[in-house]
Amino acid sequence: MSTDPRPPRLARWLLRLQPLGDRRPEIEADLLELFHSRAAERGRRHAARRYYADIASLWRRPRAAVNATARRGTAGRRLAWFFADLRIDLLYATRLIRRQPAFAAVAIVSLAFGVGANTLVFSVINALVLRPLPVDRPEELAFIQPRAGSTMSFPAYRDIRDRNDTFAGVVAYRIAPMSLDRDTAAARVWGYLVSGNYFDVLGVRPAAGRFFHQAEDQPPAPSPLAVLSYECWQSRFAGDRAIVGATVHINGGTYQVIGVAPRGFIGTELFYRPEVWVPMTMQPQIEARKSYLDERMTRNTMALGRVKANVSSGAAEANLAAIAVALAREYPKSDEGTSLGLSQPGLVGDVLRTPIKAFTLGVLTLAGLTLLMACVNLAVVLTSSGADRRRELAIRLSIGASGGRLRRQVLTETLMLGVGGGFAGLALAFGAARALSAWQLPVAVPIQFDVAPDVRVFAFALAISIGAGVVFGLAPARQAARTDPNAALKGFDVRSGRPRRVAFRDVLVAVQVALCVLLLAACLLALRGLQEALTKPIGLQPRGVTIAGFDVGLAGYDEARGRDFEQRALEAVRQLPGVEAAAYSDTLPLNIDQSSSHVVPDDRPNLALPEMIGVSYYRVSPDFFRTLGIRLLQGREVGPLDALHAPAVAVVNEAFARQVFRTTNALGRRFRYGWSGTWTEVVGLVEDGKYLTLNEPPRPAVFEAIVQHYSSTVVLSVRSSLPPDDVVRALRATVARLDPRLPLYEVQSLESMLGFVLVPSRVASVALGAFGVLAFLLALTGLYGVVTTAVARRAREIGIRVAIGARPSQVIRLVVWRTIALLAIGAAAGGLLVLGAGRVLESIVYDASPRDPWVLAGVGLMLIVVGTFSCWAPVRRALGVNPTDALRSQ
Amino acid sequence: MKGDRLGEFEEFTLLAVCALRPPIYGVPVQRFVEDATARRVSMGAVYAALGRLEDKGFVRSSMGEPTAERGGKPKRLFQVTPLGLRTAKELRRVREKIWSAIEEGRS
Repeated sequence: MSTDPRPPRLARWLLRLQPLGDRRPEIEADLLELFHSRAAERGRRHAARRYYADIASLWRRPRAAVNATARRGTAGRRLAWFFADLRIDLLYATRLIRRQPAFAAVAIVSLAFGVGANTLVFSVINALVLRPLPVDRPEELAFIQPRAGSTMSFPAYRDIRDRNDTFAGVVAYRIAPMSLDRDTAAARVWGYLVSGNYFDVLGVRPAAGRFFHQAEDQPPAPSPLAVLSYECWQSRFAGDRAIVGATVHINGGTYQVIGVAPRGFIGTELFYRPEVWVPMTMQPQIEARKSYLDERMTRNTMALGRVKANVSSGAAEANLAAIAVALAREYPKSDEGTSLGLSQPGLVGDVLRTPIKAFTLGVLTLAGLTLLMACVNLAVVLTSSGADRRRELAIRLSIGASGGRLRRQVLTETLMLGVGGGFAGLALAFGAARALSAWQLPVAVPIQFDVAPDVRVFAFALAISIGAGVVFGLAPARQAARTDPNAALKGFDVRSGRPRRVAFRDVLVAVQVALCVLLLAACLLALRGLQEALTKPIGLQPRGVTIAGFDVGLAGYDEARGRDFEQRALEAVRQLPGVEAAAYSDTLPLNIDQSSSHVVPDDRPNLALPEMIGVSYYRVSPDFFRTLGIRLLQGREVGPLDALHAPAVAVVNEAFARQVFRTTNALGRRFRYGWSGTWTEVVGLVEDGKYLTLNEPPRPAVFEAIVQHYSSTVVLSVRSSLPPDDVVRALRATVARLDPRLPLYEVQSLESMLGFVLVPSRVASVALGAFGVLAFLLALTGLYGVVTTAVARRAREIGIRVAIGARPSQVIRLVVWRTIALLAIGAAAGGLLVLGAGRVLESIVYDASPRDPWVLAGVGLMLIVVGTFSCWAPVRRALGVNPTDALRSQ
Repeated sequence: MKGDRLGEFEEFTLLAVCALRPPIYGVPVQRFVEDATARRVSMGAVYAALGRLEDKGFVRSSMGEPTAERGGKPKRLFQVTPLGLRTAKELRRVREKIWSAIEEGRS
C-alpha cells in the first residue's frame, strides 16, 4: 500500500477544510481506499478526478456532516450550517457576477487599483520603517543618537562601549568610499569602517571564511583585514572561494580578505549597500587623512548598541544619560551639553526615519482615501442596481429568508469582489515593487531600498481587501434587508415607509465628490509643485555642463601630489576640443555631498553659538562661476593669484551678504568660522541659488579658493558645446592618461545629477497624479451611475410630465437639479477637507498652497466636466422618453 | 421530507446494505450502487443516504476496529435492521404486485 500514489495535495487540503466532525477519520480512509482502487483500475488521473468530485459532493450534502456533528452539540451544528449557507451564498455571488459581468469587472478593476496602490505604499513603509535590520535578534538593537545629529566622536563611542552596564555590546561604524582592486583597474566601491566587535555584536555568520574580532582592531597595531559583502563576492570575484585569504588593494594599501558576509546582509543602514567592511583602526589609511580616533572634536562615528536581554530601553537611556554627564564633566571643551538617546536603527537613527515616515504616511492616507472612494462608488452602483435584483431579494424575503440572511448574502458578494480585486491589486503591487527595488537612484552612493513584499504586506493586502469588501457591502446590505417584498414584486420602486427626501445613496455620492475634490486638489498641488521646482531658477545653468568626480586619496596620494594631480587634470581637460570653460571644486550645489558650518562676521566677532549663521561652503578653482553659469554680481571671482599662502578670500552669495553682514554691499568685509580660525575677506558677490534642496529658503553660501583649502575629493566641471556623451568619453580618457588606477565616479551631465534632487517631487507627483486620475474616473463613473438609474426610475413620471406638456427645459431641470445639488454639497465638503489637510499636503508638496488659483480652477473644471458627463446621456434619454411607451411599460 | 418512506437512491443504498457481505462500509456500498445502476455515485450521496437510512431506523452502524491497512483509521460498519429488511421486502412485494398486474394486462 505504501507505494501507492497519493491524492493531489490540493484535494487533500480541500478535504481538510470540510467540516466533517468526528467522522473525519472514516471518511478520509474511505476516500483514500477508493482513490487507490480507482487508480489501480483506471489510472491516477481518473482517480484524482473522482476524488475531487467526492470531496465536492461532501460540500454539496452538508447534512451528511451535520447529522454526524450535530450529535456533538450545537456549536458543531452551527458551524456546519454556516458552511452550508456560505456555499449557497457563494453560489449566488458567482451567479450575480456572471449576470452582471460589467459591474463585476468595474468592481474588480477599481478595487485592484485601490488595493494595489495601498499595498505598494505599505510595502514601501514596510521596507523603510517597519523592517528590522538583517541581524540576529534585531529587536534588541538601538541606535545611540546624540541630540544634535546622528554622529559622535570615536573616543565618546569608546567611552560608551566601556562604561555602560546595560548593553551587551556597542558597535561603531562609518560610511566610507574606497577604491578596490586585485591586479586590475580599480573600482570605486562603498564600504564601512567598523569597530572590531561589529560582527560579533550583530550576531551574523560568515558565508565564507571568518569575520574580524575586537582583538584585531586594537590601535596602534594596523589590521589590514577586509570582509566582502556577498554581492561583492559574487559580482566582482565570481563567488571564487579562493578569495578568502587572498590579498586585495584598497586605496593603495594591501588588505587580506578574511571572509564574506552572508547573503542579504547589508550592514546597519537599510538604504545603503556596502561592499567592504574594514576595521576602524585602518581609518587613517582608508580616508587618507589624519586619524581622528582619539579626536573628541571630530564627530563622525555612528553607534549602535545591543541592549541586554533583561534591561528596559528606559534603563539603557538612563545609563547613557549618566555617561553623557560624566563625559561633559571630564571633557568640558568637547563634550559639554552632550545628550544621548536611543532610537530605532536602520535609517541613521531618527534623522531619516522621521521625514520618511511623515511622507509615506501622508501618501498612505491618500491611497486609503482612493480605496474608500472606490468602495463608495461600488456601493452606489450596487444600491442602485436594477429591478431584477430587487425582485430576487423580495422573493427570497417573501419565502421566508430573514433580513440578516440577505444582509449576509450581499456581504458575501461584495467580499468576493473585494478579495478578487485584492488579488489583482496584489499582483499590480508586486510588479511595481519589483520595479522599485531594481531602481537605482542616479547617484554614486549605492542607495537602494528593498521593497520586496513579505508576509506583512500579504496580510495588509488581505486585510484591506476584506475591509473594502465589507465597507462597500454595508450600505447595499442594509438596503437589501429593508426591501419591501410587496412593493418590489409589484414592480414599484418604493421603499418601505415614506419616501425620504435624502436617499442614503445621495449621501454616498456627496461623500464621493468630496473625496474626489480632495484627491484631485492634492494631485494638482503636486503637479504645481513639480512645475515650480522645474522652472524655478536654481542659480546655475546646467545645460552643456558635464561633471566627473574623483578622489586622489583613494589612489594613495598625499596632499602635495594630490594638489599637483588636480591641477594637471584641470589643465589637461581645458585643452580638450569643444571645452569652453572648466573648473573643479570639492563638491557642487545640490550634489548629495554637502558641507556646512557656522560663521561670525567681522563686526560681531563674539556671537554665541546659537546666534551664529549656518552657511553652505564650497571650495572652488578659478573659472568655477563661469563654468557653471553662476552670475557674478559684484567684485571678482576666485583667481589664480589667490594662492596657498596669499590672504584667504571668498565669494559669497546675496543671502550670505544679507544674513551675515546685513548689507547688500559685502565686498571687503571679513568673516571666520566659529571663534577661532583665520579671517576671510569677501572679494565677490554671486546670485543666490539652491544648495541642499529645491524648496529651501534662500540660504547663505560661500565659495572659497580650493588651493587655500585642500580637498582630496574633487568634482571636475566642464562646459562644452559637444554632446555630453562625447565629453564623458573624453574626460575618462584624459584622466586615465594621467593615472589609469584612479577611479572616476559620477561621470555624467550636470542635468542628470540634478535629476536626483527632483526625485522626491517626481515620486510625489507620480503618486499623487495617479491618485488624482483614479479619483476623477471614480467620481465620473459614480455620478454617472446615479443619474442614470435615477432617470430610469423616473421614466414613468417623466413620461407623464411630457404627456401633459412639459417643455424639454423643464425635463432637463428635473434631471439635473439633483446632480448639481449633490456636486455642490460634495464640493463644499471637499473644499473643507482640502483646507483641513493643507498641512499634510504641504509636507508632501513643494511650496504650493491649497489656495493656488490654478488648483482651484482645476478642481472647478473637474466638477463641471464630471457634472456634464454624468448628466449628458441620462438627459438625452429623458428627453427621448416616449410618453406612451413609458406609461405602457408599467 | 420523505418521512419513513424511501427515495430511489435511498432504496438502492438500503438494498446494497442487504446484498453485501460484511464488512459493509462506505466504499463497498458506493461500488455496489455504482455498478448496479451504471451511473456515477459520489461518496457524499452515499453518506447522505446512509445517514438518512440510519435516522429512519433501517440500518444501524458501529465503529469497526482501526486497521493498519487504512493507516490506523476505523471503518463505520453498517448492518440492516429488522425494520430495514422488512421494508425492503415490502418494497419488493409492492413492485412485484404491480409488475404482475402489468404483465397480466399485456397478455
